[in-house]
Amino acid sequence: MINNDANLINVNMADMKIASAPSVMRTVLGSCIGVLFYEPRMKLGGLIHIMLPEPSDTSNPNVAKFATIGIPALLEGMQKEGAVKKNIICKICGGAKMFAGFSANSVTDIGSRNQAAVIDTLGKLGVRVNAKDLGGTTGRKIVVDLADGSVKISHFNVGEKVI
Amino acid sequence: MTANEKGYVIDDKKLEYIRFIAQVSAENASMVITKWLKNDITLKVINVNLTTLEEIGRNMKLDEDIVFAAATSLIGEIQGHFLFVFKLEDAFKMADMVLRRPIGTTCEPDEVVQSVVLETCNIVGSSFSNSLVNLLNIKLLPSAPVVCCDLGGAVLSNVFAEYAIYGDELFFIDTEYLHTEYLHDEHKISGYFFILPTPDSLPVLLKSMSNGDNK
Repeated sequence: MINNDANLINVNMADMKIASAPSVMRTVLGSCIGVLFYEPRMKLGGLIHIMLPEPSDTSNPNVAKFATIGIPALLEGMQKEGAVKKNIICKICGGAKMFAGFSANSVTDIGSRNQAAVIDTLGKLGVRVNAKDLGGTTGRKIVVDLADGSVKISHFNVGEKVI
Repeated sequence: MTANEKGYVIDDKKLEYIRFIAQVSAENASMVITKWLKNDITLKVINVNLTTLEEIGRNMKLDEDIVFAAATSLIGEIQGHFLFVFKLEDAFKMADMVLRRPIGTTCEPDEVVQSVVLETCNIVGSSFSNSLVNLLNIKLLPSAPVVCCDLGGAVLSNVFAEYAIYGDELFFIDTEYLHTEYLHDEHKISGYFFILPTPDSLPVLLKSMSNGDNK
């Protein structure tokens, strides 16, 4: 499952990847949430780009799209590569509400619902969140350096920060 | 031929009809937008297809580009959205055209640019909805558009997440292109235009098309 084909690994919408240093992982987030699991001793990282809280149809095959089934799958993938759960550092970013007034349905603000589902799922798995950058009204580009597990977050017109 | 999980079928004939509607709508919208942008503008239908939203996101390659995106809600027998996406430089060109300034004058994503994008969305969206109403004899009303300016990948993931609730492969997409036929390349404007019907609206749309065939 490890993907070290290129130094820069792109994680698309509803996608997850596991890789190790010296690779760098990147994704762009709006209302979606990026969850990073990082095992510092192995310099191994797993990043998932979650779009929705939970599947409405359990037969849906795209596990990485949903918080409730994608995050456990990412943890399992990390453990299969040798990561020890108690050593894993977890960082989460995203969940913005950037398109005021846009909703395809009456149950709106996917960003907030995604945040709640991710935190709830991590809690059930017994994984502590070490750092987070959630909410707001702007998108985020995140770049994860697997050499140290740092996450550089760039907002348009706002600036950058590292968590 | 594609059948989705709800059992209705979008065959080649229906897709062809959707393309026809898009072409007629684009011709109507071209006339209106030519007046609005004060330049000879043609809206071209590049592709009308059924695909997945993730696939579109990957193909558009807008991840780190800053874009202006405007969305209009559709109210009536068909519900969903019209979505317009313009790269920043194209939005700037539109603002210069509307304000009759030399191309290159606008270089900040300010409220003027935002207004131009909103009005363009309004004009083209209304033109498309008028065509749908006339051709399919349905009730349809576009709402006032909303706009945002941000990373392309973030905007698309936000929009697509709203629709991903319904499934992976439910929407037909109309990708369009705006450009001037007779002017220099610097006046060319590229844009993306999507029609995103909710899954509940798709059978209504297809039924309306069948009724049109029988007339």
